[in-house]
Amino acid sequence: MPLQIVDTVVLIAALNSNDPLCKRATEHVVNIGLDRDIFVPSATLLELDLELKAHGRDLQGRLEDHSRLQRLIPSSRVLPIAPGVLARATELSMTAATWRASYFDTLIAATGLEFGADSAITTDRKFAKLGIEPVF
Amino acid sequence: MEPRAQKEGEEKPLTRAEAEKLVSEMRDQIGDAFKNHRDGDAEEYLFRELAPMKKGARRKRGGVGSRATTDR
Repeated sequence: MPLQIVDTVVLIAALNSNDPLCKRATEHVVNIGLDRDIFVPSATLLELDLELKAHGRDLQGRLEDHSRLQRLIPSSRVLPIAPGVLARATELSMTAATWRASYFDTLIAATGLEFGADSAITTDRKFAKLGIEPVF
Repeated sequence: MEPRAQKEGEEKPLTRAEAEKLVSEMRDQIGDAFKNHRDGDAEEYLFRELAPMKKGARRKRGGVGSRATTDR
């Protein structure tokens, strides 16, 4: 099966019971540790941490959140922000990314491209313009 | 030296039920924090935190940006 990467919106939707896509997003998050072809870019985890900070999660709360995520997302499923990823992201910023494609979206898409993903699990259609097919 | 992750059993695979329970626990803990979530919140937060550095303001030791240099 082709390699897939996970966008931050999926993690957030899974953690937000008010989100109408919470159930489906939860399935995707659960599958990260069960499916050998699903990977999480480091940029996704960094963006999630900033989202938690931005929404007032305190240090103790974030410690508990990341400890649980550590069990859900094994290190072997995390893709690094390698120099090649940053080069790809810069290239995307020069060619495909617009002001609407955020810094993190660009880094996440670049990670997928660099590691050979053919799709991103996301509801964000902008990923198509960045060269990765969005699926949900 | 044995990696920390292996010591703590991080790579031990979870069952589907265990994984679902962990997500559910996180959801309960986080509560309504993401109720008013908007795309771009993280980026906005990050750049708001970095904004004083852009203006060249000196940051106190230990603050954001203090580790961006080896000149201590």
